Amino acid sequence: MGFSVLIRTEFLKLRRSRTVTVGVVSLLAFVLLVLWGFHSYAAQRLGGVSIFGTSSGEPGYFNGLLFALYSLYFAFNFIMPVVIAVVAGAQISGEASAGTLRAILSRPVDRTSLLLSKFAVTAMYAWMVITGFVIFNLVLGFALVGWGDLALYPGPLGLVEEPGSIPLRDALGRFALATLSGTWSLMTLAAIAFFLSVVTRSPVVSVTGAILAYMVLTVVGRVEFFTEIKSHFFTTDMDFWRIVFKPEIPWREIAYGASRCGVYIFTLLLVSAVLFERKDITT
Amino acid sequence: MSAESLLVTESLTKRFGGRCVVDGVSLEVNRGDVFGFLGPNGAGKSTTMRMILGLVRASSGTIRVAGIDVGRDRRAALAKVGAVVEGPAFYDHLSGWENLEIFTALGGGATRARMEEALEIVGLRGREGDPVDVYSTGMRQRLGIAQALLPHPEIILLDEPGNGLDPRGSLEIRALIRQLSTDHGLTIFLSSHLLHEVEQLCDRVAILDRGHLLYQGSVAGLLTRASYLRVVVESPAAAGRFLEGFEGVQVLYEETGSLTLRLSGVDPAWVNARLVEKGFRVQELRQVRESLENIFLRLTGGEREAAA
Repeated sequence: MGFSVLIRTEFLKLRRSRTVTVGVVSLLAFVLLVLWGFHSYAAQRLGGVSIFGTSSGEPGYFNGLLFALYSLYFAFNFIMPVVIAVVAGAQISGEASAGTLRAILSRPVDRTSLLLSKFAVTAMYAWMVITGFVIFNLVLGFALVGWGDLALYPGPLGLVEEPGSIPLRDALGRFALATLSGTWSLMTLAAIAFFLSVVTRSPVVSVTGAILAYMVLTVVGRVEFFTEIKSHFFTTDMDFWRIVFKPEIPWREIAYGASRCGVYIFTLLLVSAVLFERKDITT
Repeated sequence: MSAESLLVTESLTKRFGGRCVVDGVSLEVNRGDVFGFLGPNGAGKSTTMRMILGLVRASSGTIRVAGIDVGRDRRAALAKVGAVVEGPAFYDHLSGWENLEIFTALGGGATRARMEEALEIVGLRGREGDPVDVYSTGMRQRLGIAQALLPHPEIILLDEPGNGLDPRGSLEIRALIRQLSTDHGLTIFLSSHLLHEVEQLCDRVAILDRGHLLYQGSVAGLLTRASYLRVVVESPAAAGRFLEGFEGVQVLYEETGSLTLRLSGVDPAWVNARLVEKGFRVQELRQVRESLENIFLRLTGGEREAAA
């Protein structure tokens, strides 16, 4: 049986799963929440004037691109990792607790191929979710907030020291690049959830464990007390995804961050595959 | 291992930590058998089935399916097997047909015609488009069997197929299993604790208790071996003492006016002749066949536990 058949099968299962539906709906709801917050904040900053409906005639401040960037940034802080971890963490333990894993492995299936196909499908799912999210934000941003160059300001994004901007066309390319860097970054968390999914029997444990690790290290990494050690946190390495929005793309930094994430991903996958190959399926 | 053997385990053992759950079990299932695998809960039946399917690694021993060592070439061995272990498990949000598509893909591919045929055999044609979460327990069991049939297996492993079914459902599943054996020539390996189900369906059985194999052989042989002779006679105590002196006669118990004997290699007529010769007045000789349930309870120690 070919790997492509396994991929197709895993996609069929994922495509119709309620977890995916809930994840997508949550992301859409999140975008609306960001839009509301963005609108009220912008209105307050501009002296109570709503910025909705402005277009290229307006200054770049608070335009659709900035809205999309902030929305993506906020989503990556919490909801996107949750959406991905929920799917990745249930891949093995979810099937084990439902009993379908024993049914699958009662067939002449290679365990390592099955594991890799599940991870590959999780990666494709992550990429599609992020890409869909970016497109939705851009469309919504352009339609409701207006468009122009991507203005960058010193602040929570930490992309620039001084205000700057990226031209519209270039900025769209950066968003496309962010779908790839974002996917790779989130696959680190997916690999942790995947590993936990192999070693535990409960999807709740594997999903919660991965999210908890992510949340704790993300929060702790922002506390000054941990400045010296935060470079050892996987969450710090995952953060490389957003530096594609720096005015000059720091390719070396990106390569470094991507490589560190790659080490996590491949190590965890390798260990998961070895454990899964030897695992007794008793559920 | 004979040429007719389809599934053979030799000294199969499984330990979880320090606990031995299956201890040196050697089974032989022949082509065409409907083989019952009996044992109380926790006997090690499911673990044995999981080892046969490569879901659980054996601590020691070998398993061969159609001559293929499961430990060495699991995939080739499993290509000969269809299985429903510990109840049928499906993707409930998908339809019956979609579930079959998934298992078809995993089983190395089966044609659409084969999927339709499998549904036809189990009587689920017309319901394959429904999501599995609306299926009854019986329908899920049938879909499980359809899934097991997809790759044209030589042997089907069914784990407690009657579990959770109402009497009609049980009857239908039994009829289906019989049909798979007689009409489709499949070998069936069936674990169960429903003794009447095994008695009605199986021609050979193995009885497992606390990981140990207590019996393996034909159902008829088991029942014959467990048959008794009830002798209604005057002075049963004296008659019992007299008969105990003969080889092949064991006095099991005496009651008022009767004796119960277990005979091995001894004819009831011979017993009658000896008693009459000795001057005992024999009023009745009756062969009593112990039920499979009693045999099972006796072998697995459940009789003592039930009495206690």
